[in-house]
Parts: sequence; structure tokens; C-alpha cells
Amino acid sequence: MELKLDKETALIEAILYLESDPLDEASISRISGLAKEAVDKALENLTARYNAEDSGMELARIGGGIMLSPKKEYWENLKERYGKKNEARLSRAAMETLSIIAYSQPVTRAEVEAIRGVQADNMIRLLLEREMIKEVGKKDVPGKPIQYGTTKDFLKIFRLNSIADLPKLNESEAERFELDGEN
Amino acid sequence: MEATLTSSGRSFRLDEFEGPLDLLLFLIKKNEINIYDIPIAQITEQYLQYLIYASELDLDEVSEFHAMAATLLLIKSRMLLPVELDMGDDDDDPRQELVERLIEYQKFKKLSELMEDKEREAEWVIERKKLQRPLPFADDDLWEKADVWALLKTFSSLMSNLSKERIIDMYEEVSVNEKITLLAELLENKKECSFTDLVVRHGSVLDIVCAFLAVLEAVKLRMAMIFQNRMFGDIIIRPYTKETYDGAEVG
Repeated sequence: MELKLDKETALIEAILYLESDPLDEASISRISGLAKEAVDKALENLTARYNAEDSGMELARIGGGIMLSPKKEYWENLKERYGKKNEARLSRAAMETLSIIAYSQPVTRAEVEAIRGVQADNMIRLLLEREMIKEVGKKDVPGKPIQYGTTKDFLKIFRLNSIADLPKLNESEAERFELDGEN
Repeated sequence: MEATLTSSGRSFRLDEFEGPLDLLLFLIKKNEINIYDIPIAQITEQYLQYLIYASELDLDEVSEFHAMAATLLLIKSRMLLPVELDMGDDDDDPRQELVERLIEYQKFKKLSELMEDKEREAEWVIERKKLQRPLPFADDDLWEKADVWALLKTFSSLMSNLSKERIIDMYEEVSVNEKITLLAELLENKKECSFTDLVVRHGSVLDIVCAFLAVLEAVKLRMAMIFQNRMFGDIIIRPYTKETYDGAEVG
């Protein structure tokens, strides 16, 4: 038996068109009134449809949600009218702090400081204000220091689906940074 | 010392570095040193020269650099100690911890560069231009939650139909409580009623005033909610439900 679900696919396409923020599959299922399996199949159909070269759209997965988004290859042509310049670029110090938190979360301030060799209060405060990181718990050591992790906004800003999609070091670099590289 | 501060033709400032580890990595790279075999005397010397240049900076900003200088001097002094004291333990290289920190830091510097690329790549965030207007909905349930202002408008239009000369009959036996009871009754039987349903004796000022006060009271007591389908239109009163109330608050 072949499941085509043309109508369901079309309905979900319409929903994604109407929404401007990424929607998770549970929300799509609730809005469309379709079962999860049907939603999955429909999303699969849509992905295939948009992956075709004659489409300018794609299903972007951002922060665990799905949204209709223009394909990256057309950004250059679109940005002048539709782009929104990111005016709040992070400084190098802030980016270093953020990447330590992103790759080692959950992580305490002291752990960040140990890696960077400088105080981290200001950077952590800035990242908290920008809602890129948040408190995710307390470490079970004396003093119960706060542990930090990244937020949903962080994923959105970097267009990541989850922290598993953080950029990775390539193999030779990974080897180079192994602590017991050569001894 | 063969490598001087200005060997590359330009001098560097301490605040260009993200911290002592950043400066050390810079020196290591500049001198093309093997990170696993750092000539600690040479590096310490160069490092201290940078600190001299930085002396006019705020002490707060350079305290971490000074802490690292102390660490370097400690390592240097330990390396000068006679080897016998090390009991021949190969792992006990005084530089080891520093090397580990440098490599760890270097790794995050690289990751931070990758994140920067990612940020630049996602820099032009394309968002939908604006929300569409709501889709038309074929349902008579398009009553919107109204505010007290709307109620007042209805009230004043009812009042304006009254002749100004009319004298309030103090013997009319109407009370707000009575109107509230009537409202509760109507809501229970019909699930909704309009404001004008509450006015039993049209033309009676007291009746209208009491009906008006009763509605205000019922809304305040969360007994009823008021809705209106168009500006200045009639007002529909419905029993209070938490869901609709919250929904109306959000929407």
C-alpha cells in the first residue's frame, strides 16, 4: 500500500506558509488535526518537493522546529530587500565564552574561566542579557555553582536544529587538540 | 633574545589579546615553537616584556596576565631544579599542565572561529515580512470580547432615547441585585443574552442604570463576559469561562 497523502501534504504546506516561526511536529499535528505519522510523511513529501531544483524554498529545521525558508543560494538576491542585518555581532571574547558554553554545557562560570584564563562575569552577564545562554542547573559540588547552557534563541541565531549540529572540528584538527597528542 | 617585540615591524598591545593564554599562543606561533616542548625561559622572557608594555593599563585588566607570568616563572624555576629531585618520573614535566591548558584553549579558539563563520552565514536572517490578516471565518461566532467602554457606549445610546424631562420614579422597585439575578437566570437558560434583554421597562432610567451596573458587577465577579460584534453594536453577555477569558487575553 502506498501512502501518498496529497491532501495532507498540501494542508501542512499551507500551515507552514502561514506561520512565521519554526513549528515543532507536535504543533503541526495539533494545528492540522493529523496524526503524527501523517505529519511525518507529509513533511517527507514536502522536503522532497522543495529539494527539487526548481523550488526557491526549503524546509529549514531550526531549534527543533520546521519552517518554510528561502533557499540559502538565493539569500544574496533577497537580502537587500528582505534581509535583516545582524547589528549585534558578538565580540571575540564573547564568542569564545559562548563557544565554551555551547560545546561544554552544562558548564559553570569557574570552568569557563579555567579554559579562557580570564574572568568571565561580564561575558556571562552579556550572554544572559542577549538570551543566548541561561541557567540550566546547579553543579553538585560545594557552593552549588550555577551551570549554564545555550537557549532556543541561540539555536535560532545560529540557524541550528540542535546543539548536536554545532560546527565540528575536522579530523586533523580534532587530533591536534587531543590533550595527549604526542608524548 | 633573538625575537623582539617589534620583530615583525609592528608592536602589539596587550588588550589585543583575549587573555594570557591567547598571548602565549601568539608567542608560540610567532617563534614557531613546538607546543609540546616549549622553551620556557625564552617564552617567559618575551611574555614579561609584553607586561612591561602593558603597565599603563588598568591593573584590573592585566591581573590575569600577571597571574600567568607568575605561573611561567614558577615553571621556569622548577625546570632549573636538579633533575634528581624529580625522582626520574617522566610524566612530571612542570610544563605539562600549561601545555594542556594551551591546547584546550586552542581548541576552543578554533571552535569559536567556526561559530563565527556560522554566525556570519546566518547573519542575514530572512523573516516573513508581516503577518497576514486573519482568514475570513464563516461562523456567527465572531463576537469579540468587548471592553467596558463599549458597554458605556450602548448605555449612553439607550439613555439618549429617553426624554430629558422624565422624572425618576423613586418608587420603581428595581435594584442592581435584581438585575444580577435576572442576568444569571438568562445566562443559565439561554447561555447568552444581550444587554437590552436586561432592560425590562424600556424608558426607565433606573432600569437601565441598574442593568448597566449589574453587568459591570457580573464582569467584575467573573460571572459573565461581554462581547461585541462591531463597534458600538449591541453587547452580548455570556457566562464566564476561564478558557475564553484567557484566550481573549492572549489573542
